Amino acid sequence: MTSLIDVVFLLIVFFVLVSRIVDEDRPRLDLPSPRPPATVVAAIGPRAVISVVPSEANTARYHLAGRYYPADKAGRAAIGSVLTDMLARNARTAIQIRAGRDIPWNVVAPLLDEAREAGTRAALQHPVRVQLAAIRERGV
Amino acid sequence: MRPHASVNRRRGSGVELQIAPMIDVVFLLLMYFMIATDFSPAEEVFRLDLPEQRVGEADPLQLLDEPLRVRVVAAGADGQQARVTVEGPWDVAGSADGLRVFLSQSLVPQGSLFMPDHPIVIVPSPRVGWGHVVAIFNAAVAAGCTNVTLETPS
Repeated sequence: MTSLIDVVFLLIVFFVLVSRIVDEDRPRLDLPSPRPPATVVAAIGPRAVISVVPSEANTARYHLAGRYYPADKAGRAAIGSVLTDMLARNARTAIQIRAGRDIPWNVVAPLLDEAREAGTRAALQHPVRVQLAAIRERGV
Repeated sequence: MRPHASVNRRRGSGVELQIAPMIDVVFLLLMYFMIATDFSPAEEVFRLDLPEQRVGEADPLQLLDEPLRVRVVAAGADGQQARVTVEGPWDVAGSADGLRVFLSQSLVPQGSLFMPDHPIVIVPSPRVGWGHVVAIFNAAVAAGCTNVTLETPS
């Protein structure tokens, strides 16, 4: 029995180390890390996570619910449609925006407009709740 | 010659280290921490409520509450830096730290210029990096402002 437990233990350690633990729904990004941070832990609840991922040639792509969208008018319209559906299903859905620190403001700003318009289309009775993701450096 | 030593050897020969219970416990602890641990503990958020879209709905009895507008423009030779200016007769050092100090000293109760819920509107220029925008947002929140929002170009 001891040998069996030893092997199971080693297998678990192996897979913990080798597996990709990061959530697939959140691409790796170089998020802003302001100092001293005034961030808060994100409240538990339904979320629509939009990531703004740097792409080739100084462009960017949006990522939402496992799909990538181009950072153009059509891509933003598609994201707006998805957000409207999510807000209509659950009005308490928070829209979390994760953007790399070098992404220009004019790529991120239209997402805020889309979120606001999605809230209007979904006939929310309250302002759209947005979360801006940032990194809290360890020990800060 | 050494009776005590021979007695100790006889008694110790029956002792056996039980590895299996220890591994069981380690296994359970490992499972517990795997389930309980958040693997991205450093990622946190700023909360922001987007204003609702209202056209032609102005309350004539509402007091004028002019927001404090903070402009963020790209600076430096490569445009990678940012410079902060505050609209109005305010003397603010052009950085996130300068803004934080200004707001900290202006908000009630430390100062007397603004209430903590006075609207702060951050107006970035198009090419400013998102990291700078978040740094300015962070400065306002860290100073104690509770009504901070971002103005989009549209």
